[in-house]
Amino acid sequence: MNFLWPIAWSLLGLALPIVLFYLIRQRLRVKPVTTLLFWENLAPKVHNLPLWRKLRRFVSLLLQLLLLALIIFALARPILPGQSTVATSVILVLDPSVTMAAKSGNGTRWQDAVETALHRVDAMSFGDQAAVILAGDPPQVLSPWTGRKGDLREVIRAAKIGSTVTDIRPALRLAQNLVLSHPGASIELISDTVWTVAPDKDSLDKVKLDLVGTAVANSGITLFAARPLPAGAGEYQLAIKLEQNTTTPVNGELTIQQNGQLMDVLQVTIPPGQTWQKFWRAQSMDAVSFEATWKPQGEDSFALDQQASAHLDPVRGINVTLVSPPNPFLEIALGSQTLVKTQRVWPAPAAGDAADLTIFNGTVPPADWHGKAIVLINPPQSGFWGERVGPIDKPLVSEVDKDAALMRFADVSDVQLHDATEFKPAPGAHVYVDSFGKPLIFGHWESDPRWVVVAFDLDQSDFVFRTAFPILCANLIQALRPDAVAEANNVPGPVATQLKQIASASSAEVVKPAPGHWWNAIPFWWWFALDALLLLLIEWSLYTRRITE
Amino acid sequence: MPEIAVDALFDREFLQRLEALSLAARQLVRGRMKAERRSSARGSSVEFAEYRPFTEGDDFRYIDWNAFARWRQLVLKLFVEEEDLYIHFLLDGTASMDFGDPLKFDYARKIVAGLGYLGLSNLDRVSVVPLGSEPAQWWFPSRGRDRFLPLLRYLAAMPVTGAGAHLETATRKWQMMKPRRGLVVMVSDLWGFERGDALRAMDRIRYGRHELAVIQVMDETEQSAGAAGEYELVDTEYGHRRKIILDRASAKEFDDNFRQYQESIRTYCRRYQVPLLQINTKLPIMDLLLKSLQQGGFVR
Repeated sequence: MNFLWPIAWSLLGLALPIVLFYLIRQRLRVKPVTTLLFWENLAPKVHNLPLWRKLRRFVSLLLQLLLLALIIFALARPILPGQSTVATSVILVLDPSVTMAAKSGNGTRWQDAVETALHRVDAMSFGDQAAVILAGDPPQVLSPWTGRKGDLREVIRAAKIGSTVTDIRPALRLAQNLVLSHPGASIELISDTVWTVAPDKDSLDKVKLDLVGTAVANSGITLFAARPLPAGAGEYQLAIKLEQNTTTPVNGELTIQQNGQLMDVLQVTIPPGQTWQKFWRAQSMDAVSFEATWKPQGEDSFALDQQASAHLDPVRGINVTLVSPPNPFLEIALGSQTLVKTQRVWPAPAAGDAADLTIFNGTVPPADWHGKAIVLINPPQSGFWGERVGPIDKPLVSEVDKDAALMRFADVSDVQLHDATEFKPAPGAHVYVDSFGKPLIFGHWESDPRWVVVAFDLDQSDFVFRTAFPILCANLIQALRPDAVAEANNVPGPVATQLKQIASASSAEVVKPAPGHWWNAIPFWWWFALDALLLLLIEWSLYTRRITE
Repeated sequence: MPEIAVDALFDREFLQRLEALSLAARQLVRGRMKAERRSSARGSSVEFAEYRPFTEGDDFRYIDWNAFARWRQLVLKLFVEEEDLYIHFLLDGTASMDFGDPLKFDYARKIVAGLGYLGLSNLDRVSVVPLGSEPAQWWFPSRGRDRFLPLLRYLAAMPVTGAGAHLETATRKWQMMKPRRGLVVMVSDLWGFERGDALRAMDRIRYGRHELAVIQVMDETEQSAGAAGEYELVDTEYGHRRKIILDRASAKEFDDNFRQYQESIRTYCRRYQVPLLQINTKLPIMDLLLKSLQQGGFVR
């Protein structure tokens, strides 16, 4: 057996004063008294002691020496066979996944994780070092390598749980990199292993997993979103999805509130292995807030997925500048749109304007134009939108991208075109309508900067007489209105609701978290010392007071 | 024990308070003990006592002729014989008194000084007799307040007279000197050679037809066994040694023995109407003296 502090054995010299003290105590203390009248016939007297009582004193001495040896043994910090005598380094990776908020015993998984990390810190010996990483994307180094337990405890206690399910891989990669600076260091991952993506085996190489939490029943909201519909200004759709992770149906009550007022109350049964979902459709020009509350019957260990909220912004007005000679079709089609203010100018202003949409009909913007969104109808020349090639002979609509938001419900397949101009679209442009490989409507309308080219003259087609024309105008306008979808983080998501622990003992070494008792952090040899000290005091007290005699 | 100067043992404050005490003593004693000092003998004082029929051999000078003229019978007119009261202080000077904080012997000497002052102030004859193994010089009966300072010097110079003393023996030796009958105030711890020693000493005093009063002086530490442990007890007076283990049981036994002994002293004094004060040296000396006056029997 080895000892971390073998010099402690020199304390065996303390045995000498103990023996001397014992010998001194063997000598009777002389007590002068003025009379022996009251001391007569008192029992027991020393000279009447039986043999075992005299032996008792030698036993007492031996016991004290033995206890001293025990204390010194503890101070010498023995190393059991198999234990390392060198200082160790450990990287503690804390998983702040939102699922760590799930109940675990009397607390939460996060509390268990923090306690486990604190115990690991408490168990550090002299010379040991640790670093603390908070998982996430990107991961956060809470503490660099340090041997100061106080600092480590402080950062661990200060760590906060996240609002999403963690991707553990970046944290493990960072930990593996930190290991390179401390060869021999180990990685200790404290997690419930409910992750969006399971790390590969290489990432878990030499990782000890402190698994917190067990499989628990849960049901909750995995989607709650409100989005405007392109069908019309202010139209929106509200969607909700409920999931559960048990093998039996889960019943509960779902309450929906709109702007703080009760909107709907539903008794819901979520079948095992399936989802339950429902949609509402309505229209509102004003801002709308939605609250969903799910109250399942029976036990539910994860509360964060039982409430969700969504918000719709008010429908915003759109300013349109029409740069065109008088064109009643365009003016009427635009003016009929809800909350659209149209202004026609001719010729084009020199430096652009602040309108949300500028439509150039038969003309092109100046070179230094800086409008927000541009529609070019039959542009007479080349530009950033593409290279003008020449007229298209007998143009016909041959293909329409009906999946594009711009062309939704706009049926242009039968539009008659008398003439059109062929353009070679700029790189990145999307072709919405073409005529046998020659684009008729193309551009970039899904994100900024938005621009669309209509490569034919409206006056030389029947497009303006078709219902597709106002629909296309409406789609142009709707695309400019901001998406009022539900906040991305209002619910933890299906991974969290399922609470499925994807790591197992096969993927990493699973270490059961230590029970939350402070004495687990005390090295066993300190127990030796405490026990020995306690026994020493008791023995001293008994011996001195002669209670055992 | 080193010789103690008068001023060290009996400081100015002590003496001043004694003076105040003597005034209190006059009120206390006069009110309660009227006529107690008259002797049973008839004598020649001016205070009339009684008439007695004349018998042969009587001194005819004491015949009351006025009474004869009235009654036609010879009667003698008797007067109260006034005599001095003797107060003997038997001061225990054995080695057991040389103990405690303050020393029991010093405390006892102050008691004697205090009571002696009251006696001298009252024109009583005060004597001090050291009780010890060695023959020691007495303070022979003296009267008058002017004798107080010599008394203090005597007390201050009084030594502890060695070990191995028996109270009864010391008392007997004193009685062999045929002291005048009077009040005997015994100031002692009453720790005798054995349990009956002190009682026999008191018996001897009573048998000598003295009036007896006892002040038992103890140190606080003598009244309990003390801390547990293993001791070799050394009797400071007789030199006897005893090895003992002091635990709770033996401490309780000590307490029982002590209580029984004290009770035996109290019982004795109750039976023979002997004034008794059992005090420890933590009691202020003036409180003790006042207590002795209030209880009565220690001064006249």
